[in-house]
Amino acid sequence: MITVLGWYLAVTLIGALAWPLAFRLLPGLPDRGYTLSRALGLLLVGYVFWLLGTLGLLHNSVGSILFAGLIVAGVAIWVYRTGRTEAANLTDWLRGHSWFVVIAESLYVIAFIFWVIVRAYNPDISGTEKPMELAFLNGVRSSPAFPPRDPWLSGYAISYYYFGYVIVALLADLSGAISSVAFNLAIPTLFALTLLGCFGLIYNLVGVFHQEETNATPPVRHAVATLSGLLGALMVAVMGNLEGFLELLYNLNLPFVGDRFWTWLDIEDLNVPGNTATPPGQWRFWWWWRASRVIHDRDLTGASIGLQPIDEFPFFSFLLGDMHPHVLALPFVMLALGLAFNALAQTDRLDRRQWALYGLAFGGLAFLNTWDLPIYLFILVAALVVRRVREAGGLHLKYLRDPLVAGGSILAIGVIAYLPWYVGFTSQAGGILPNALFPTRLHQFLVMFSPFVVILLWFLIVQAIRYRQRLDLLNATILGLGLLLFLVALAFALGTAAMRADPGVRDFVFASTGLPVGGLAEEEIAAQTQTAIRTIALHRLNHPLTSVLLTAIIILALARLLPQTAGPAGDDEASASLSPFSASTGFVLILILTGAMLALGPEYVYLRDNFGQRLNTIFKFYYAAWVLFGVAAAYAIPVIVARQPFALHLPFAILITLLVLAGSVYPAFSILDRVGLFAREPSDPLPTLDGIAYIERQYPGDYAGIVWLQQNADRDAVVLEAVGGAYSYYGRVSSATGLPTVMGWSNHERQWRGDLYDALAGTRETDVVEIYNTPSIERALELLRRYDVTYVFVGSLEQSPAFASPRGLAKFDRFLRVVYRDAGVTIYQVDSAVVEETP
Amino acid sequence: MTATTHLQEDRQPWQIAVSVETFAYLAVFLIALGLRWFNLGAAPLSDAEARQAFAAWSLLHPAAAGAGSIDSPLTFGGLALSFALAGTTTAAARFLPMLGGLALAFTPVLFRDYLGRAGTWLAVLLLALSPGAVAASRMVGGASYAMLGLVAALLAFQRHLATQQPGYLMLAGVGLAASLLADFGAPIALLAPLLGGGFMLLTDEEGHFSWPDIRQQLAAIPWRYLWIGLLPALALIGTLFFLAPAGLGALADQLGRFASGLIRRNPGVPYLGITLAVYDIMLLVFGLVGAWLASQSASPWQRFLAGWGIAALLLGLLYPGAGPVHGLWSILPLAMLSAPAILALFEEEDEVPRWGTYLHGLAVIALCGMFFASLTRHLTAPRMVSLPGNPNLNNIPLDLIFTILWLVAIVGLWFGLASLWSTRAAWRGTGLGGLVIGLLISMGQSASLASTRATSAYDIIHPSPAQVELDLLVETAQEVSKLAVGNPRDAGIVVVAPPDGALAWALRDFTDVTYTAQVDASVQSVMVITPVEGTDPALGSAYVGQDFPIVRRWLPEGLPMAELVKWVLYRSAASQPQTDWVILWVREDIYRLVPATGPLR
Repeated sequence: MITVLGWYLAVTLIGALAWPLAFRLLPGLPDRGYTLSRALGLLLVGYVFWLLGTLGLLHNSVGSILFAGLIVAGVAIWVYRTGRTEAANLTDWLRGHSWFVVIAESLYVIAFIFWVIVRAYNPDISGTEKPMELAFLNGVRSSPAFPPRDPWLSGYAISYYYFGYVIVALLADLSGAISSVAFNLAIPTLFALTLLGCFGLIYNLVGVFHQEETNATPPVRHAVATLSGLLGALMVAVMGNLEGFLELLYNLNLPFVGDRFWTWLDIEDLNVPGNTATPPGQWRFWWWWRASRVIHDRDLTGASIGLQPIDEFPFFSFLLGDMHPHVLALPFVMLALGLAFNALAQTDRLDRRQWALYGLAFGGLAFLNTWDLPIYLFILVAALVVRRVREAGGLHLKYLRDPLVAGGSILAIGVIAYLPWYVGFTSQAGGILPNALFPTRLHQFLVMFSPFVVILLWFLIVQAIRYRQRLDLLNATILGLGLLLFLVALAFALGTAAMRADPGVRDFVFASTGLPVGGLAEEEIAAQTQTAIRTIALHRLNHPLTSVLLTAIIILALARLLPQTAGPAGDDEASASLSPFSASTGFVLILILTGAMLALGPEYVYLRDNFGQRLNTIFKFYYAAWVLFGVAAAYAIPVIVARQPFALHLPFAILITLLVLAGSVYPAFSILDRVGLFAREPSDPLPTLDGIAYIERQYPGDYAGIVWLQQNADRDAVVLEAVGGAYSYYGRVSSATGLPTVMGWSNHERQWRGDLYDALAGTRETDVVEIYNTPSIERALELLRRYDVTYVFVGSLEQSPAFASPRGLAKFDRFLRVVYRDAGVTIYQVDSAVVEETP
Repeated sequence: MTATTHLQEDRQPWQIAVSVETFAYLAVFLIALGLRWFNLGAAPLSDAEARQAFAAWSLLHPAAAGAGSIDSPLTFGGLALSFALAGTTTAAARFLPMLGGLALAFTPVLFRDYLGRAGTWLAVLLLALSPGAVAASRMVGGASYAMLGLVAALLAFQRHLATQQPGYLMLAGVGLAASLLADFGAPIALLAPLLGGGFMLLTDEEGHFSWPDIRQQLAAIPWRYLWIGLLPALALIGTLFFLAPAGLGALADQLGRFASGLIRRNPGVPYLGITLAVYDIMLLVFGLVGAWLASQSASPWQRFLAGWGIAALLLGLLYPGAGPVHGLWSILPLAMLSAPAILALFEEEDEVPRWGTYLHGLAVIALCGMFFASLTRHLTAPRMVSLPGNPNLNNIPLDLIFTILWLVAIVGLWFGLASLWSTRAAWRGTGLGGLVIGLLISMGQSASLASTRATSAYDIIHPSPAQVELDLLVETAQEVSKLAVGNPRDAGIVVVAPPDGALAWALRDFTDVTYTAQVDASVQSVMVITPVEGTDPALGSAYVGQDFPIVRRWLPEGLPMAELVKWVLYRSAASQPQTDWVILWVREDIYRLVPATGPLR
């Protein structure tokens, strides 16, 4: 309880440190950055702590974190005091917005505590990639300096975007939480910060809308903005896709929803005919997992491909409880959106101090989750372009120059600020590949996005009708269709080039289109290639709906963004009155446009990575699109109500209610399922936040050995443990202690290291197996020496007959010193003196 | 006319005033110096001191074995300077803290305008004799520096307020930086005068200050100059002008220790309240009386001082991370508060409490009781002590000397009573007697800490002291080395101990020392040093061992009342200190004068 309180206070105090800075540098936001200050504080304190640690000026210690906090506080106060030319004053603002502060703080506290309770009922750090994330967290915490050591490849630093783990580690150090508890406090924190960020962003958007476009009185404006913020937080961070609703339908087995529907829908596990009525609690094991796999790719023969696209959304991530970079980045994504909106909404252009802040925040996105940087930097640049459009009343190509320079400069600042990380980072991206075979089927796309897409379409149509005089439909159509055609051409060019250059790709395409593979003459190949291209083209033409829908959204958004009437250029003051839309509407149109482009992109191309399929691109792009669509939809609701004819209010309200309810089925049922309230047994373990308590229950010997290492091992020690497959119990000692092992999950190391993997890892995997199995002391010593091993852990996995022979294990007693032996687990210490002396 | 009353007079002819005052200060200086410098290097460095010394040593000798840790960047810098100039001796390690402590004793001189001539001298005398201040001066650490930095910052800030010159604000920033770099508890020390300032404003009944004026004055202060002094000083001094970048990390670690101290006590460190009550009771009593008097004063300075003293005392008692050296936080303001309280005893006031006579009676009875208790103890079990490192001062009947001094004090008290004989006389006699006795006790305790009890575990003001037997261990090792390799430094020694503790510091001049967590049958070095455990270690040759105590630690926790009284009076108790023993193992062939190459001819 004290740890939870300490954690809450740490986050809150760090937010308080940064708020004066946000207050002064975010004047365009009605909440003056209050709801973003926690994320901003964490980012800045984490940055100073990491940078000074990396430069060797600070140690990895609590004192260093406090020192970093003091620096941030000092800078915040300095910026606040030096910018006091404007009338606004922090204390006056607080007095005038006390109810807003109470609501924001209540939202944060309730979300945090609620999710702490949820985590306490399913705290295990096992399965999926949680052990990897715990390893990173422990690696960061146990490293004397930065870059942190990689616990799964001794002797090397982490090669990953690990900034999020630094931030969690600093909170753990400040609150005194052990890592396995910190893990389960970090997820509720991310949940609460995301909710708070959404709430604040939408509050700001709606507030600015009412300021600029309506005559609403301040109390009404405040109330509508607050309610919209709360609804938006619910839509972005709590609502799920429609898989939960479909799961309910499937398990209700309603007579009017027959097998044909499920077959047509073709979502894996739901496309199995013959379902029966099943009460909650008895649904499929981990049924909620399926929500992240509603896009089902089949090749032209109808066969399901092996690696299906991932379509996570924020609530799924919180429910799953993986502390992965895309989740760690969420609060900072909200911060980036807030900053981008501020750049559009504030009266003055960005000043030098803001440039520095923006550089750190947007640059930090790359270090948090590299995928996010281009997406949100694009939004920032687009916001700056729209700002010029608003100033001038129209668009001219020369207006692009300043925003592009600004975007480039902020990118440069971001790269320079995080340069020490870039130096040691190996990107997994390896170019662009075409997606010719797998168009997303519209109904599956709508299962994913319909709650948002329906609202956004309504919004765009209302906007188009109301402002039809100002729409630039022609240019928007040219641009929208141009984008689509560009993607098609790119996919076609890349596809044909790949088929010609790589026989493997060609054979894959032949097999996917039902054509014979192997033993073909050149002419047959050429003929089959033509056939395959024709077949694929026809296939794509038969499944155009997702692309059509997204292109339509893009055209509508662009048409509203590109007003026909061009105002006088250069005379900002005179042109300001020609603003064709409010800053918030302009910003939301950017979000819609970006979200649609993100969803459209993987229809034709995807980023090449270790998987060789589009699953990761869909995953990261849809994830961002969810956030953008969700924020836009939450903003759209009050704007639609303010702009559409009164007669449409009732149908619109019914529609919204149905959509929100349908999207809320998922969180409602999945939470109850995940915490086990449907089928909780008296013998189930008591709620706890300790994520490795399950090891104590299932492998008490291993647990005691791990605790011994946590308490006694030197910080620089290297521990040897069994090596095995990913997503498993292997790597548990290094993960739970942070002590580096010779090799953890090798396929993950391969992902992180890319082309360098073979050179770095060498024969580690087989060497570890050999150390445990060889009867030769000399050989074992040679290998132990090679990897500078300090401790040899012999626990449950190591004693498994599938891994090591009894003879191989018995030799350790003959030449290594036993420092721990209990409950079937032995830990040997490799003393340097012994290693040197033994022949 | 006594010297004290002579000093109290406001104006004297220039020659006389200077000569008497100078003489008085010279006398105090000599006492303060003697108490701080005498036998400075005789007691070995404790584990905590050794770790800091090793950090500085590593800077000068990068290839040296011990790593050490920088507890205080300023101490680290001071140690590096001392070692570079005076060599790596124990006395050199303590030299600059000693100078810092000596300077701190004279800081009341800087407040002479407020304290008056006699008050300043008295405050200096009290600080010079204070056992807490003496102990802090004789240990490697930054507590004295922190208080010096604080005083410098206060004065510079006061000068800025008086002159409006921004340079003083920069100086204040440098002082603050020095304070923060010196000791992890510096924020508490800095907070106390701030609270004192708050107390001064809150108790302003004469209308010297008005809040709008204060706000306006604070807003008009060019604070940036403070930061211009503070931040570069932190960066430059903290890193020794970038010679030791880790110093900044050490500053951050200090911050962590400060934060940790907010919630937990360091294990093995006695509670500050106990050390203050046992060692500086005189300052507490007179300081609290002085604080009461000062809080009633119309003078803002007096009220500020009262607030500072009380706040420092309370913060020290409430801050769990405070150690005995942090008594300095309150010792300095309490000494400056005590001086006016003592001087008030000489004022010809008619209004004195009626119960002064009874208080005097009680004091005389208590003192006589203590005297007889001491006399009885001395007669039944005389304690003959010798001074470490000084063979010419052996077998001194120290108890007897102090007993006689007690007697003198009581006689003096009686004399004071008999000479005036009234309620006022009783009151004054009690005060003066208490003062004389307090001064004697303080001086006795300080002298003991500097000499006979420099390594006593019962003197909790220096927790976990290293024992003088370490010197014996080193001498033995040197002799063995001479036997083994022909010189006193080059024999191989394997040591089961941390590479930066008291033992490692004692062995720092040996050239072939290996520190390890365990020893086994592969070890065949000339000497091996292991902790005393249940069984002898299995080594690779035959060895002969001799045990030595290296560190003793003791805390007065759970003592029965009689034992507690005994400890308070005599610094001894029935419960024995916990002792860390080590065994020096000498390879048997060396010990028997049989080198490995064959028997001696």
